[in-house]
Amino acid sequence: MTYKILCFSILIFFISNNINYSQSIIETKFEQQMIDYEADVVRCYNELQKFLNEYDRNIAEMIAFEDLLSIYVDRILEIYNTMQRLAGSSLETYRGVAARALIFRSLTYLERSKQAPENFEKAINDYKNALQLYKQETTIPIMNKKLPYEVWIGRKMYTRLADLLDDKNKDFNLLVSRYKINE
Amino acid sequence: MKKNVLCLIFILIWIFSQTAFTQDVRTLYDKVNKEYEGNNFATVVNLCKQIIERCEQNYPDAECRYTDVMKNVYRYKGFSEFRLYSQEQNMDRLEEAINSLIKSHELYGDPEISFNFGYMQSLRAIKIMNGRNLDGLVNAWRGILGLYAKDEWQVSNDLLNKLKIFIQQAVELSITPPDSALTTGRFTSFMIRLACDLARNRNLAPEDSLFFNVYYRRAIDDEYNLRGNEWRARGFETEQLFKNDPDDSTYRICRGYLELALRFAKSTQRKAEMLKELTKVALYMEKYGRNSRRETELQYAREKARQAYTILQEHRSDIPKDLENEIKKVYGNSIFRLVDYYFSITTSKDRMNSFYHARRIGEEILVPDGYGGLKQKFTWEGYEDLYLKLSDVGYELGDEKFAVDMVDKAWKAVLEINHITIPQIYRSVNPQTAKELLQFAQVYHQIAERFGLQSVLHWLKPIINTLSHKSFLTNKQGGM
Repeated sequence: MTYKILCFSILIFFISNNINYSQSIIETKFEQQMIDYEADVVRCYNELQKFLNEYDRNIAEMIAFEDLLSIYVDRILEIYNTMQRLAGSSLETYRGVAARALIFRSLTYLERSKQAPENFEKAINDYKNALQLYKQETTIPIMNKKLPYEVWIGRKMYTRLADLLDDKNKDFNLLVSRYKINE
Repeated sequence: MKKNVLCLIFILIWIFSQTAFTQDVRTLYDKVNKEYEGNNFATVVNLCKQIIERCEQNYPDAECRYTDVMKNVYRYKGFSEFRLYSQEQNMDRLEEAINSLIKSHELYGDPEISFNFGYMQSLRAIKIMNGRNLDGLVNAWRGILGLYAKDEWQVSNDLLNKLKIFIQQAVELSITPPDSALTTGRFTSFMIRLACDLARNRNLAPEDSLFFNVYYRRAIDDEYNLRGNEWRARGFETEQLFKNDPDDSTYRICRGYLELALRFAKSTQRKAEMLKELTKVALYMEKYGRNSRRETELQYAREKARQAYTILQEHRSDIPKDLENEIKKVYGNSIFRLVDYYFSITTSKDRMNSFYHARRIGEEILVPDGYGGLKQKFTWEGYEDLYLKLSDVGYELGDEKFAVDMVDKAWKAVLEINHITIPQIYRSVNPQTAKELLQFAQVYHQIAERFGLQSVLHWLKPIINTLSHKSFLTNKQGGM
């Protein structure tokens, strides 16, 4: 009887270990995909900035860049939400990727906000959602953290989202909207 | 009472007819499956429309609420409409196909469907010549990323084929319409880079690897100028066809492509390259083309070469050495050929006018040499022939100073090219070189005789004798 219980316990141990192992493989894969997609978001954002610096801008292409970046951000958020459901709580890496992706999309929407007012609303929503991910957090806010890559606009390089926001959001529209929302 | 009975009978007949002649959604759906398998696309479209109509009624069948049924109804309808479009080439059909697939995608987010309606949207944009419409590319890319994720982030063979289709459409959109730019081409270039990078995630067969490498190169060359690069590639491809079969039609197509590549070129290097290529094509047409208008082609070649040379002068640091040499060669050659053309119109009533014309053309690349004469702006492969031709022109015009100056320059140039000095002519000269030098010496002699330059004749006579003797040996050897 004791022998049987022992065998059964070992079996249970192996099965649970196997499940944990599979779970960790999936998590690693998801994490890798999120990082890859984030690289594409940044690539897309950098390309958009190069395009905006060109003398002959084209509205159709601006919209296409916006839509393309949005596809990648949606994929990142999808994985982030899946991980949140699986793990029950969000992991730091996933949350950072999701927040940064949202900020980049927000900045992208901001580029065309004068011509398309609905873009401003979208930018606010993404900005708000990104900040929401870091609500009541004791660690360094995502805005002030050093980016894991470089962002180039013209000849200027950015390594923090806060600097990028300061330059791109000169009239502080996003910040004002945030305070209004909090009020 | 009678009226009421009649009314009741009428209602009963109407209900009976409705049930007898209309079928329920399930039956229709089964028929759709069967007809689609049998490739009866017109019937499929008709049946799908019936299902949709029935589902729009006040009390629809239960199947209308099933996503699996309705997404397939729209899918079958969309694909069948696309097949019908392929047969009829009716744009309304294409429009309907796109709308049906979008509807199917709204009901069920299948990435395959997203790719397909994206493809159709791009196809529509290409057909109606609206390169500004980039929605198709975005939707197709959404589908591609979805399929990539679905295959657990692996690039399957099917996805590889889709990437190829995607790239070809992106290229086509970037050059739609050909003669006016609706976009900068930056987005399409970026999409191709993304697609090529995705394809390279797996091991590619050599031909696939070549395909993606070529398109990646086209997307990044000349400051990410996909449109210009595509016209350049098409221009070079047609140039090969033109050289094999130099008729006017291929010439026009080739020139058109190269001119578009020139128009959309971003860098000065590319502009210079395209101008050089246009000169080459026009010169080839003049020489080998069937029914070519010689003067027109030569004037065109001269104009393009002159533009290329101006770029070279203004942006010398941007132009590589080999391109610089080629530009000089085609410019010099086009001037030489045009001088030769005007010089050779001997049947003209106004011969002197033709000679003056030839001289004016030649003078385009002549500058003062600082010793009272003229010299060519640059040396190029064959510049000695231009001097010789201009000396002929001077001879015919009776302009002693010009003729003697040119023939003297021609003589010195041919000696320099052959790395030979006058004493070496007497000692050891290659028979082949002797033959070439003799031609120049004879023209020199002819000019000296005409203008009575006795000292020149005295100096030339032994040289001509030696060269004749040496070249005679060549002829003899050749004859043997």
